[in-house]
Amino acid sequence: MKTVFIRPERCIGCKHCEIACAIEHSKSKELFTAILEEPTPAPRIHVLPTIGIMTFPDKCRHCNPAPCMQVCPTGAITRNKEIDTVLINGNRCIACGMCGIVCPFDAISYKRSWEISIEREVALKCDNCVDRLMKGFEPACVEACKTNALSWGEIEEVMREERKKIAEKIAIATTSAEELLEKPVPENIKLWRDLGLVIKKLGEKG
Amino acid sequence: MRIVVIGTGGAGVSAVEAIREYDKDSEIFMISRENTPPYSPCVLVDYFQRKEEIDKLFWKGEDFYKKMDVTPLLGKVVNKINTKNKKISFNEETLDYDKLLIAAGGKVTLPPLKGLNKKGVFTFKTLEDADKIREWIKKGKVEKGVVIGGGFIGLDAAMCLTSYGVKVTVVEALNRLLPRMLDYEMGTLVKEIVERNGVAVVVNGRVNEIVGEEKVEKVKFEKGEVLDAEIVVMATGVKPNTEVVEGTDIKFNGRRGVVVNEYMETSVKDVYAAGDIVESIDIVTGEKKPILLWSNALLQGAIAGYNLIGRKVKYLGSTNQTIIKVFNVPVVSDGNYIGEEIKLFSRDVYKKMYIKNNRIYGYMLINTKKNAGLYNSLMVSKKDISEFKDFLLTDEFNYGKLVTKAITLEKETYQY
Ligand SMILES: Cc1cc2nc3c(=O)[nH]c(=O)nc-3n(C[C@H](O)[C@H](O)[C@H](O)COP(=O)(O)OP(=O)(O)OC[C@H]3O[C@@H](n4cnc5c(N)ncnc54)[C@H](O)[C@@H]3O)c2cc1C
Ligand code: SF4
Ligand code: SF4
Repeated sequence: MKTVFIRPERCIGCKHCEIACAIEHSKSKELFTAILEEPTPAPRIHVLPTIGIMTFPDKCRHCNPAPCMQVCPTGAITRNKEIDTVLINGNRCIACGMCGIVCPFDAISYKRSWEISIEREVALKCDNCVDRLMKGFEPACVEACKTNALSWGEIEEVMREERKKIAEKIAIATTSAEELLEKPVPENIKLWRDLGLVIKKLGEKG
Repeated sequence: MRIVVIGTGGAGVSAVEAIREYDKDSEIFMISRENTPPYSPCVLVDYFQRKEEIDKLFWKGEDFYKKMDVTPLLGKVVNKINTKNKKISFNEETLDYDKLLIAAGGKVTLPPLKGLNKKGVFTFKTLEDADKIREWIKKGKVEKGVVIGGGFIGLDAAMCLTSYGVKVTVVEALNRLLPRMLDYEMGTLVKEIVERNGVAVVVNGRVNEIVGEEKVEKVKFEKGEVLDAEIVVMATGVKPNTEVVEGTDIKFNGRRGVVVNEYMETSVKDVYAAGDIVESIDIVTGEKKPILLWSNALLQGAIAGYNLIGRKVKYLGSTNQTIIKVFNVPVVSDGNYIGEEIKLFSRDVYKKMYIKNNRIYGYMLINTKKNAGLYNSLMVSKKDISEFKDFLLTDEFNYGKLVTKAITLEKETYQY
C-alpha cells in the first residue's frame, strides 16, 4: 500500500502543497477559476509554523484504527480499503464536530464545500486525492512539493509489522503501546505513534 | 454459538460490528424496546429541526440488521435475566444464549415533582420522545416552554423548541449551565450565548410543581414564582439503566452502573456489558464513574464484542470529552478540574486548562475546537508539557511543534 510520507525537516514553508490541494478540491480544478469560486476552495493540508523557522505540513494520517471514523454519529466517515484512505461523505455530515475533537492531528476543518448539496459547513479533510489516484496520478500535494518534504511511496514493511502488532493487542494505546513494542523506537516515531494511537478500537484484520 | 445483545444503541451496534469483523457464523439476536433501525441520539437535534435528515439519524443504514446477519427482536422489553440457565425473558417469551451483552443504555432520572404526569410533559432521550415533542408543538398552541435541566440534553431540547418558535426558559438547579462540563466562569459564558439567542435562563432554580388541569399550564418554583408553559421537557440527567440486572447475580454499583472488568465482562461469566449502563474508568485519574457518552459507548461496545468472541482486548478507560454546539457555537470540555488553572480569553473565544505537575488534567473551550484532539492526547498520554506551557492555549500551539521538537532529537522518515 502506498502512502504520503512527510519529512518535516525538508519543508521550507512555501505552501505550494496548500495551493495545489485547494485547487484539486475546487469545482473547476483550475487555479484562475478556482480562486473566483464561491465558496472559496479550501486546502486540506496545512503548513504549520513550528519551532524557530521550521514549518510542518500537517494533514490527515488515515489512521488505522481511525478515531474520527469510530466516533462519527451519522456514519459519514468510512475507510476505502483499496487505497487505505479514510473518507468523509459530506452529504451525511451534520458538522457536529465530534471527529474534529478526537483527531490528535487537528486535521479536520469545517467549511462549506461545492460538493455539498445543502448550504452549510461540513467536515473536510485530506482524501488522498482519490480522484487522482484512480487515474494513476500522485496526490496533488506530493506533485507540488519541490523539496520532497512530501513523497508518495510504499509503506515500509517494518512499520507495517510494528503497527499490526500494536493493533492486535490494544484498544487505547497511548501509554501502554510502548510497553508492547519489543525494540525501542526512535523518540520522534514514538511520539507520533503515541499521539496517533489514542485509539478507540482494534485495527486491521488479524 | 448464540450471541444475544440487549440494546440497539451505539454500544450494541458497535459490538455487533466488531463480532462480525471476525465471526460470520455465530447466530446473533438484538433486542430493543424501541422499534427502529439503530439510531444515534447525538443526531436527534438535527432530525428534530429537519425531519428529512432521518437517513443521518439511522447512522448504520436502515438495513443494518440484514447487513450484519442479525435477527432483530424489536419492541420487546427484557424483564428477566436468568444467568443460571442462560436465558432471558421478554414479553412472555424466552431466549437462550451462550454469550450475552447487556447494552441497555441509560435512563432519565426524574426528580420527585408534582404533576409529572400532565400532558405536555416530556423527556428528551429517544427518537420516540423527539417525535412526540414535535407532534405536540405542531398540533397544539405551544408558545412558551420550560426545559428543566441545563445540561447538554437540556440545551439540545431548548434549541429544538426554539427552532419551532417556542419561547423557552431553561431552569438549572446549580449555579451555571452545562454544570457537568464547565466550571462557573465558563458555564456563565455559555449562559450569555444562550440568552443572546432568545432563551431565558434561570440558574439556582428549583421547580417543585407542574401545574395544570389535564395539560401543563404552569411551572411553579420552590420559592413561589410561576412560569407559564404549554410544554415542559424534563432534562434532569441520565443514569445507568441498571433495572435490567436487578434481581440477578450480576453485580452493579447503585447509580454508578454495572460492574465490569477490563474485558467488559460482568461478575457473571459469559455476560458482558457496555455503554451507558456500565461503570466506566476515567483514564486520567483512574476513578470509576459512569461516562454516559457516545464515544465511550462505541469504544466499550467494540471491546466487549471482541472479547465476547475470544479476542482479548483491554478497556483501559476513557475521558469525558464532549462537544456541544450551543446555537452553532462549539463548546468543548474534557477531563477534570484538577490543578492550576490557566486561561486565555479573547473577545469571543474562551479557553481554559487545568495543569498539575506539568500534565494536562482538563480543558474547556468555547467558540473553538482548535487543538482539542491534541490536548486530549497529551492529557491521556500523560505527557510533560512544561516546554509548551507558556503558549499551550495560544493559536501558535500546534501538532507540528511536537514533531519538530522530536526531530531535533533524531532524524527519521515519518509515516502515518
Ligand atoms: C438528546 C441526546 C443528545 C446526545 N448528544 C450527545 C452528544 O452530542 N455527544 C455524546 O457523546 N453523547 C451524546 N448523548 C449521549 C449518547 O447518546 C449516549 O451516551 C449513547 O447513545 C449511549 O449508547 P448505549 O448504546 O449505551 O445506550 P442507548 O443508545 O441508550 O441504547 C440503549 C438500548 O437499549 C434498549 N433497551 C433498554 N432497556 C431495555 C430493555 N429492558 N429491554 C430491551 N431493550 C432495552 C433501548 O431500546 C436501546 O436500544 C446524547 C444523548 C441524548 C439523549
Ligand atoms: S483521526 Fe485525524 S488523522 Fe486520523 S484518520 Fe481521522 S482525520 Fe485523519
Ligand atoms: S462533523 Fe460530520 S463527519 Fe465529523 S463526526 Fe460529525 S457528522 Fe461525522
